[in-house]
Amino acid sequence: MDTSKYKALYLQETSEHISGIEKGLLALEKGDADATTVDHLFRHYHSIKGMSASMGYEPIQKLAHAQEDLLDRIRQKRMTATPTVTDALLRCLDGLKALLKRVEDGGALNLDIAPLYASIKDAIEGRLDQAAMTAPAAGRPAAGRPAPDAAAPGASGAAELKLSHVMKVEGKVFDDLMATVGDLIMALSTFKAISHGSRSIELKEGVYMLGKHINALHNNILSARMLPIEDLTEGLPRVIRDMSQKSGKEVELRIEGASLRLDRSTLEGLGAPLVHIIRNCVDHGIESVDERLRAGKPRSGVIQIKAYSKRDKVIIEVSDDGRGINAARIKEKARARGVAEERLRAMTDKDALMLVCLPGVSGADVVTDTSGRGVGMDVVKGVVEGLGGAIGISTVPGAGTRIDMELPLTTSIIKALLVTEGPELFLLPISRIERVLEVHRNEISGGRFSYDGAVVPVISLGAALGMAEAPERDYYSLIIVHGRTLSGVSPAVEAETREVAAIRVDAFGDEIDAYIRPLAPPISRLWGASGITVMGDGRAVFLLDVSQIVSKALLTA
Amino acid sequence: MNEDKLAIGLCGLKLALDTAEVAGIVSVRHAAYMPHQSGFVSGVISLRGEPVAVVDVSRAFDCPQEDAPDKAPSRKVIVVKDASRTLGLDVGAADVYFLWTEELKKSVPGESRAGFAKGTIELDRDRYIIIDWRALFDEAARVLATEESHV
Amino acid sequence: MSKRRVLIADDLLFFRAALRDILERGGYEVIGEAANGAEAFDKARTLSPDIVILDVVMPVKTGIDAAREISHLNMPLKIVMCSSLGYEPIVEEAIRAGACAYILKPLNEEAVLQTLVSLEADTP
Repeated sequence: MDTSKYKALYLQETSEHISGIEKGLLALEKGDADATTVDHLFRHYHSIKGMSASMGYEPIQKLAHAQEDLLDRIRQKRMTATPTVTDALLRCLDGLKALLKRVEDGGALNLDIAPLYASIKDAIEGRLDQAAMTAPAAGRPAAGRPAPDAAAPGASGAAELKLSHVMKVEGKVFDDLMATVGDLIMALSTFKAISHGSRSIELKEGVYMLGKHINALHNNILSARMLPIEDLTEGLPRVIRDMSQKSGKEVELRIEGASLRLDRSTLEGLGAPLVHIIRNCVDHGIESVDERLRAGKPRSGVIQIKAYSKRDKVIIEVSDDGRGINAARIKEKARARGVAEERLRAMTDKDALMLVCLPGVSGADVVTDTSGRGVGMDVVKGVVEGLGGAIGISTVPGAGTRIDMELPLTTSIIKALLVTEGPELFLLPISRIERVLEVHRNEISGGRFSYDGAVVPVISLGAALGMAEAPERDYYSLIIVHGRTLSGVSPAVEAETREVAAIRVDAFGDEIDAYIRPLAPPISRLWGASGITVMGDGRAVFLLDVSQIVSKALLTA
Repeated sequence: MNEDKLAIGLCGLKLALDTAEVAGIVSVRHAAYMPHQSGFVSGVISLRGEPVAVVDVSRAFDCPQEDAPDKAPSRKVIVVKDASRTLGLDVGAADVYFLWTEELKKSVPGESRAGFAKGTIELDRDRYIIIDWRALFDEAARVLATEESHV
Repeated sequence: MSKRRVLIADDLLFFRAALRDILERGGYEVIGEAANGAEAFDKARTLSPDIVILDVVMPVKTGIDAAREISHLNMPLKIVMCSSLGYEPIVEEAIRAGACAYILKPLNEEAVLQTLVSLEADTP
C-alpha cells in the first residue's frame, strides 16, 4: 500500500495516543489507575502498533507491540505494574516519541531500540524487579545490559520532554530558601549599619541595591511558600466526626474561602488553635440534640469556618450556632480572679468576652456550669499573637459564638528593635512598641513612670528575665509597649483596658528586619521569648514575648 | 564501641563522644542568655546560622567550679547532632583530642549508666566516660519548659 | 451486479481512510464509517450494508461485541473482522460472534480484496 498519503493521519493519531499513554502511565505509577485506565493504555499501544505496522515503521511497531503485550498482562492481572515496570514503560515512551519525531522529520528510523525492547521483555518475564533488587546501585537495567537511557531513543526523547509549569517541590526546600534569605537579610543589616556610619556614597548605593534585590527575592520566596488554607482544614471533617461521635452531638462543618493562601509557617502554627477552637465549639458551644430541639433549633449544630483577606491580613472566622457565652458569668469569674472592679465596669459584654483569654479565667470550671467556653483560649490567643496576629470573640447568647483570628500573610521576617541589657542583646517586636524614651533614673519613681498623662508600671527587663542584678545606672531607655491587644473593641474601651507598660533596658539600638526562627527543642517551651534570630555576626538573639513579660510583671507587681 | 571518639579532658575526668555525632566545635566568647536560664544551661550560640542551645558539661558532671567557664575568655562548644536534636556542649577550656578506631581496638568497654554517662571505655589504664548527650538534651528541655508557656 | 455496499468500523481514522481507499479501488462502495462498536451497530442497522468490516479493539464496545449484536439483527449482511490481533482464541471468538472472515493487519490491498471476493462464494 502506498503509505505516504497516510503519514499526516498517522502522525496526528499517534500523537493523541502518545498523550493518552503519558497520562495513563503517570496514573499507573501513582497507583491511582483503575481497570479502565489500563484498558485505555492497552488500546493506545495497540493502535500505535497497528498503524505503524501498516506504515512499515518496524521499530515503532515492535516497541509498541512489546508494550501492548505487557499491558495485556497487567490488564489480565497476570502481573502488576510495579514502579520498575512503569519506569521502563515511561522510558519506552520517550523512545516512541523520539522515533515518531524521526517519522515527522522524514529521517531514518535507525535508533537502537534493543535496550528498551529488552527492558519490556524483562518486565514481562519478571526479570526487571529482580535485576533492580540485586543491583540497586547500578541502576535499573538488568545486569550486563546497557542502560535503556543510554540508548539513543531515550536520550533524544528526553530532550523533547515538555515540563509542566507547576512543579512539585518538597516544603523543606522553601524552608531552606527562606532561611537563606533570612541570613541574607541579617547580613544586610550589618552592611546597613556600616553604610549608615560611612561617608562613601558608593557603599550606600551598593547596600541600597543589595537591599532592593534581597527584598525582591524575599517576596518571591514568600509567595512560593504560600499554601491554601484547605491544606489545614482537610483533616477537620474527620476530627469533627470523631468529636461529635464522642459527645453524642450532631455537628456539621462548613468551610468557605479554603483556597486562600497563607504562609506555610503560619498555617502550621494554626493547626493546634483551630482544633482547640473547634473542640470548644463541639464541647461547650453546640448543644445536645434534645436541647437544640427544645430551643427550636435544627437537630445538628453548624460550625462554619470562613476565611477571607483584608488588606495584608487574612481573617479566619470560626463560628457555631450553639448556646453562646454568658458574659456576666465571665465577668464574675474575672472579678474573683482579681481583675479590678472599675476595669470590669468599663467593659462592654463584648470586651468582657476577651477575659476568657486570661489564664485564670479560662478554667474549665467556668465552662461547665456557665454557658461558656474557655478551655485553652489563652493558649489559642498566645499562639495567634505569637504568629503576629490578633484574636476577637463575639457571641449572641442562645444563638452562637464567633472567634475571629486576624493573621499576617507571613510571619518569618518582622521589624524589631534591638535593645541591650547588661551584656545581652534582645529584640522587641515593633508592632508592640508605642514609643522609645531615654530617661534619668529619677524620673522613675516607685516602679512607675508618667507617660502621656498616665502612670505606667516600669518593668526592669533584667529582673523580668531573671538576669543577675546590675549596678544602677543614671540613664535608662524606656520602651513603652502594649501587652495585650483587644481586637474589635471601641477605642475608648481599648484605651481603658490596654495593658501599657514601660520596659526598662540599658539602651536601645537599631530597628532591624529580623528573620525569626521558631524556638526548637530543647528551648521550645522557653518562657518570655517567642522566637530567635541569628545576627549577621553569628550572635543569637531572642525575640521577646512582650505579652507574656508584661502580664507576668503586672500580676506579680 | 570502637567508632572514632572525640575525647575531652575536663577537671580530671576523661569524657568521650562519638565523632559521628559531632557537627562542629566552635570557639565562643559569648553565649546569648536565655530568659530564666538555670542549672547547667549556659545560653544559646549559633553554628552555621542555626541557633544551638548550650549546656555546661562541667556542671553536668559536677566538676568543682573554681575555673567557671564564665571567666574563661573563650570557651569551646562541641555541637552534637542527630536527626531531630542539636545541642551545644560547653567544655570550657578543656583539652579536646581524638581516639581513633585503631587505638580503640585495645579498649575494654564497661557499664556505667549513672548521671549523663551511657557507658565507659578503658584504654591504656585511662577510663573514658561516654557522654549521654541525649539525656543532657532531655534534661535541658525539662529545666527550660515553663508551665505558663504559650505552647 | 451492483456495487457491494460496505460499512467500515475502526477507531482509527488512519485505518478507515486506508480501508476506504482499498475498497473503492476494488469496486466497493463505502456507505459509512464508525469509530466504535456501538456506532457500528447503529449504522449497520440503519444503513443495511452488504458487508461490515469491524476492528476488534475499539473503545465503547469492542468489534467482537458489535459483531455478536449485529448477527442477532438477522440482516442479510456479512461480518468481516479486521485486526492486528492474530491470536487463535480471538479469531475463534470472532467467528463464534458471527464473523465469516478475518483480515489481519497490517492492511495488504490484495489480501483485503481477496478476502472480500471469497465472501461471494458462499453468498446465498
